[in-house]
Amino acid sequence: MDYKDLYEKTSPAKLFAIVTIPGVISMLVSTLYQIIDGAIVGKILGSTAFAAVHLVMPLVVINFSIADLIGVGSSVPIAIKLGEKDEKAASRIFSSACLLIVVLGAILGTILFLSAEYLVRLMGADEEIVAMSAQYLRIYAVSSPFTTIMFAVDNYLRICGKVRYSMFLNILLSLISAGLEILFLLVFHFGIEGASLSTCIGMLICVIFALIPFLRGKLQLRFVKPQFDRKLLESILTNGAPSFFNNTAGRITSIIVNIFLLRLGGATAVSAYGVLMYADGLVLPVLYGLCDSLQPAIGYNYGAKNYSRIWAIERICFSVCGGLSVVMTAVMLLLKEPVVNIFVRAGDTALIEMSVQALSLFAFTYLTRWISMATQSYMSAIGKPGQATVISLSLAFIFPNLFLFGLRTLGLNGLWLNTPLTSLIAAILAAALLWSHYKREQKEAFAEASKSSLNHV
Amino acid sequence: MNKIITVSREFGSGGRELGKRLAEHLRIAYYDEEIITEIAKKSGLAEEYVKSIVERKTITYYPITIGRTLTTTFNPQLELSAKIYAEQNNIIKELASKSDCVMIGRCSDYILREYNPFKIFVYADMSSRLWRCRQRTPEKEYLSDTEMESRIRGIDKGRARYHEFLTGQTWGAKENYSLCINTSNIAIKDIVLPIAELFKTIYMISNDK
Repeated sequence: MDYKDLYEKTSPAKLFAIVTIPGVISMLVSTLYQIIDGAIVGKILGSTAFAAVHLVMPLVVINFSIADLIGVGSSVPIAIKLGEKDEKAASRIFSSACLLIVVLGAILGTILFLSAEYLVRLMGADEEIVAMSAQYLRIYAVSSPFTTIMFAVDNYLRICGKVRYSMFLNILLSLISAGLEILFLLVFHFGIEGASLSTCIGMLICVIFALIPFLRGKLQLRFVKPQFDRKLLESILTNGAPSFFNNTAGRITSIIVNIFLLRLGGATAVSAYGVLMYADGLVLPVLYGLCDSLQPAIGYNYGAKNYSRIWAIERICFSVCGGLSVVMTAVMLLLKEPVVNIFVRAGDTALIEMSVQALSLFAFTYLTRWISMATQSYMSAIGKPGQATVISLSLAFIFPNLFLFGLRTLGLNGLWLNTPLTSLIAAILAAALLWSHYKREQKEAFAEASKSSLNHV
Repeated sequence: MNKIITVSREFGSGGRELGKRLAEHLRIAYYDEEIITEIAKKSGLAEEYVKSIVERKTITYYPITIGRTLTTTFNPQLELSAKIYAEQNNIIKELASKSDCVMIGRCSDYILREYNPFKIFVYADMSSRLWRCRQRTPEKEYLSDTEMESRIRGIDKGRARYHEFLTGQTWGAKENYSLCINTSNIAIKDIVLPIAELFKTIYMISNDK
């Protein structure tokens, strides 16, 4: 694709459509499986299993984040080495990173396997849930050395130009996992282990498919003898850390929230919160897809100093995100029962009531959530990692935990209000950062007029 | 193999002038902004954008998902930046293979390491760098000394980070250069001749071996 034409000349509205539509679709496809997974577990296995899954999911994601850290972190030095046409060195980094993921996957898997029951009991769950959670988690733990690499190999395929193949694998993963889950739970009547087994088998198959091109030696990256040095590990850590902290900070918050939920309302409350998170999974991918896929276009125009064009694109982005969010809030409020019914059995009135009440407070999140999201994405696109990190950490970790303790007296309602309030305060913070950034840019532009000659010193 | 001089320099140290004068004196080619223009032409990207990537490292990716999804993350900026690094590498090597030349910055000292170039690092104290910048700015000047100083430091930081990011070497560390020269209170034109002589002498010695 000719970037210059697309980023510089195409009209902002058209650019917006061309870039974001595939972004939103691929984001939706890849999260669709999680929704299906939630619905199947909730409807077929019931609310206790649903709560068990929601309790251990953060641990599963933290385990995957390690592979993601290495995958994101190593793709930068690999891309540089490939740019130097040094395929040997690039392959060496690639092979080392893969080995590192397998080894760390094995270590973390072992830890999770051994401590599964203990960890869930520590959160305050009763024995029925402890047993179910451990059963569910142990399948992830056993397959960890072979499946986590999925999150890194995707990056490597793209570096080697196999973008379509990587997208195909992501869709395949959703299809296989969903298919197997239906087969295991509906036809074979497996218990909770059927849910994690289907995901793990799906990942395993996709990992094999993903590795075949590398093993056949047809790509620029091949498997060679790994070689580690301090520089490489440093570079992996610095490049992958932002993504990793983003992932884990949110997950640690989830674990703390779960502990509060168990104390205040037991398994039912955990399930109700799970419903909120799955409902969230219907909305957020759309906003993520919108903002994230605009990043390259914004970054490009910022570098090229086409400030008025950025403004034009961002104006569309902010209005579309804002408009969409209002619609989402309205839909969530109007369709509370149908949304809850996707994940909860019809007879489970206690859970349905609690979930509906939770959703009627939680839905207000979307009124403000897009502001911090679009701002964070913008800051990240123009190379202001500091501001992007501040917003992301406040949103995922600082504010939710402050509200957890601050709203203790409100009981469960305090927990349902946590995310809407976090999102409101984060929006104010984001707006303030955006404003001060705008002021500084103006001053810079003023100085710029006198700076041009400095370039030739 | 062609004789190459690479000049790495602190902003405002007069490195660019030194490189240009050396090239004139030795009657060899001189490449500076030309490299950026060439990258822009070959990659089909805007020149200003190429410059913004080449002058500071901006590759870190902050995904806006806060880890609720299992979606794999991919760095969308990496693709464009990687394209620029690859082009920079190609172009600098291509230019070096054409003829003897002086190259300014852009990690050419590292990229052309096979040529065993004569690598100069030019630095100076802040007051003379400020003075040099003032000499080149027009009458109508909005920047105060402190503003100018922070701008100079900012540009140097970008160069250092970009260099370390791409080469793994520390920018300005003496073991990576053939000659490090402090140009504080020195007129560049006065040192061109001795440096050119030094270059010829060292080149002759190393070729005799």
